[in-house]
Amino acid sequence: MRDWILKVENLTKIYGDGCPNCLKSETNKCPFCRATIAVNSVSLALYSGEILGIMGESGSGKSTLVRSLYFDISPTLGEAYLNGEERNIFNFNSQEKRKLRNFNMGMVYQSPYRGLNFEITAGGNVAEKLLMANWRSYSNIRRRLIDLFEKTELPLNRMDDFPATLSGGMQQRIQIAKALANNPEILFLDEPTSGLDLSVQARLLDLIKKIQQELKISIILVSHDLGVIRLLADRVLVMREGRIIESGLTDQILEDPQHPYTQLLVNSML
Amino acid sequence: MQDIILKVRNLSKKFNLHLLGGKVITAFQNASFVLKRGEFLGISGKSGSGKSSLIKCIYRTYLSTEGEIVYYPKNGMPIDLARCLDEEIIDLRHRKIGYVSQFFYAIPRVSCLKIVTQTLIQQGVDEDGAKRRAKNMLLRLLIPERLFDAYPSTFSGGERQRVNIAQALVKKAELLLLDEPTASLDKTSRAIVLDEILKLKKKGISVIGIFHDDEELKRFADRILVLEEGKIKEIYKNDKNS
Amino acid sequence: MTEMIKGYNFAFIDEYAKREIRRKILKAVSIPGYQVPFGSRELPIARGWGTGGLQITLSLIGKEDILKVIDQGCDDSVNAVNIKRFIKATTGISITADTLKATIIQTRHRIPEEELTEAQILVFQVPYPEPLRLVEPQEAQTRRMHAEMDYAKIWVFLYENIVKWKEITIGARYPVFVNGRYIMDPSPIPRYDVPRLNYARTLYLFGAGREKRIYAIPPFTEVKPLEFEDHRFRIEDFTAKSCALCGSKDTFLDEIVDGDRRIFTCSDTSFCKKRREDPNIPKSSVKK
Repeated sequence: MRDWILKVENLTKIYGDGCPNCLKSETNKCPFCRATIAVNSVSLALYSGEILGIMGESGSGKSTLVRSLYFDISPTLGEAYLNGEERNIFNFNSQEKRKLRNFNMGMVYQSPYRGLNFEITAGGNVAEKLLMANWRSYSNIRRRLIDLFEKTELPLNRMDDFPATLSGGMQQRIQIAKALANNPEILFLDEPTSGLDLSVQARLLDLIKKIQQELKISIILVSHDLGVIRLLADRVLVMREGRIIESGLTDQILEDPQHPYTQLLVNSML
Repeated sequence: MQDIILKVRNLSKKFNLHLLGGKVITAFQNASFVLKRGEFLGISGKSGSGKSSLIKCIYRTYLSTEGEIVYYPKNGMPIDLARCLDEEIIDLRHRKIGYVSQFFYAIPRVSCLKIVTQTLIQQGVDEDGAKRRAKNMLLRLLIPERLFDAYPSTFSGGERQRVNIAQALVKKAELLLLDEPTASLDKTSRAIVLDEILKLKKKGISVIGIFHDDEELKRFADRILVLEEGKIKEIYKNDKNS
Repeated sequence: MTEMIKGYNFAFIDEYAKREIRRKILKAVSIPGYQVPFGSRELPIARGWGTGGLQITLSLIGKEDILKVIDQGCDDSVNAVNIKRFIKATTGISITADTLKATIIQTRHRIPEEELTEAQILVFQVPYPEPLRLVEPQEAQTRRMHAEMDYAKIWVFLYENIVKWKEITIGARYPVFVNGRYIMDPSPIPRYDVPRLNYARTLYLFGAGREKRIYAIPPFTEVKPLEFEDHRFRIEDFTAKSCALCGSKDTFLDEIVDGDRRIFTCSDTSFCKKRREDPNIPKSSVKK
């Protein structure tokens, strides 16, 4: 069996002061202190080379969960471990966290405005990751960019254009190229295809699958779109009100959901 | 024990439909049987008798409610498919257990050759080898070469189903689960698919299969398990096949 | 010693303030290239007119010191003359234009042509101490970037420069990497002067009065301009040009438009004067 690569234990994110009763709350609003429990005691393991889907409706905490793992948000409680590293990565200092973000992880956000700097060129956005890794030869950087642009099926002649002049699908590809620049072991995809038209979405999904197979990268895929989850994910976690209410193989969750909420969700599928 | 590949004991599947106020539907119950290595076990029964549910429980598309499904891999420890980790099932699906259903899901706009090739790459076959084997299998299932680069979503129902079958048959599984694989095929393609399945059986692959047509089933089943209203009515040796 | 004005402390600033500034200078020297915040004092000249450099000079200067002040290499420009007059009035020390005779040189945007020694201190007036401001508007962010050596953004800026112009187009204020640790703004000196920062024998002190920062390059410290392996740092090119006054071909030249004529003269006026008297004076007249 494959090894785990990332393990998360009891991850909790509370917005507000919080109180001892927050974690017992059924909903993501604590009835005692009115704090918002965006993520409530989530534990999971990501295995090497797999695509782990996280599904749930808006506000279920799925984005907060992956953004915590990418250190965009600092969790209130909880631990996360990378295989081979004994310390809880949430206790890393900011320099160590930045290093993990640059070398071990990649992120693709739903909104390219979050993932890309629109003041710099498409190539510059990707080059930033290489420059962080101390690449200091301009021609080597350009060669690596060509490689990454080809891998993510981006037209080379748009490399020096600004992201705002590129289509939505291309912007997501730049995010993917950027995320892959330093060959990370873990890729977080936060609704990567939402808001794109269907033909663009299909090609992007194919690209993600291809990359996962070629690079043997482990992926956590957040999506509210069951179709996307079905096509890409091996396993799925279902989130609601900040908690994982059910997990299983993708086809099992979609064909034999156990939790009432998941049954509702699956039955609402078009 | 060496000659047994699967041992199913007291297996039941019940659906709890929360949307219908917690209504419980029993798909099948107390199913116990063994599958010998290299054996072809046919499942027959009326529609609604629980045939598909049984196969889906073995493949873990359905979670079994009670009982166990012990799988004995050629190399390695026995494993209860009803209770083991999802990760273990994924691993077995990639390497050991194949499944063909009547339905076919694929990423839109991925060519049919690529779909079949990817299955092999996932098993660890190198790209060139995977491509060669995938082409072979598609050709044997009468998918003409001009369709290799086309998307299955544009295919006819029969062609699509043959791609689906190619995807399952191309990897050398130890255990193959078939859920009416030929249901949507015309006579010619059905004959070809059955021929391929027969070849696999001759290679010693163990199969549990549901077939639309009892005559078809009797052509190669070693034994036939008959389900009636969710219970095993009988398991008998199929004398026609020898 | 000449007469100094009455009613003020020696060198204008009170002794406690000088002590604070000297402490901050010591810290700056201990952490080459790191910007040390300091309590910038009010002075009788406006912030932004060299008050950072001036406060460093005033807190270091003693009765035996000989001061030189230049503005873009020139001893006689208004800003330089005003600062000299002010220091002279409040200290009574002697002033010189000769680079080699000065113990403290306060400068705006140039390093003198003649090689300085370990006996001298060069004090830079700094308008913008933060080299990362170019790419990051928030102070909290730039401080974090320095702390973590997160310098990718400025490298991206250089990368994009090459994409757009085929070379790095920064003129003055060329960012340098000090002691393998901090990226530093060398103040708006021309690129021509940047190599002089590397392994220099002289203590370089940088003061930004308006921005309230002091930083330093101690003697014999590695200072490297940011460059790519295949796009090297280059200094300004004066090939086939020479000073219209002294004829020198190996100094940094200012371009002057005189009617229809464009002429070049030495930016370092005191050295130009010396060269006119003796054209053979080498740029580095100090023996190593």
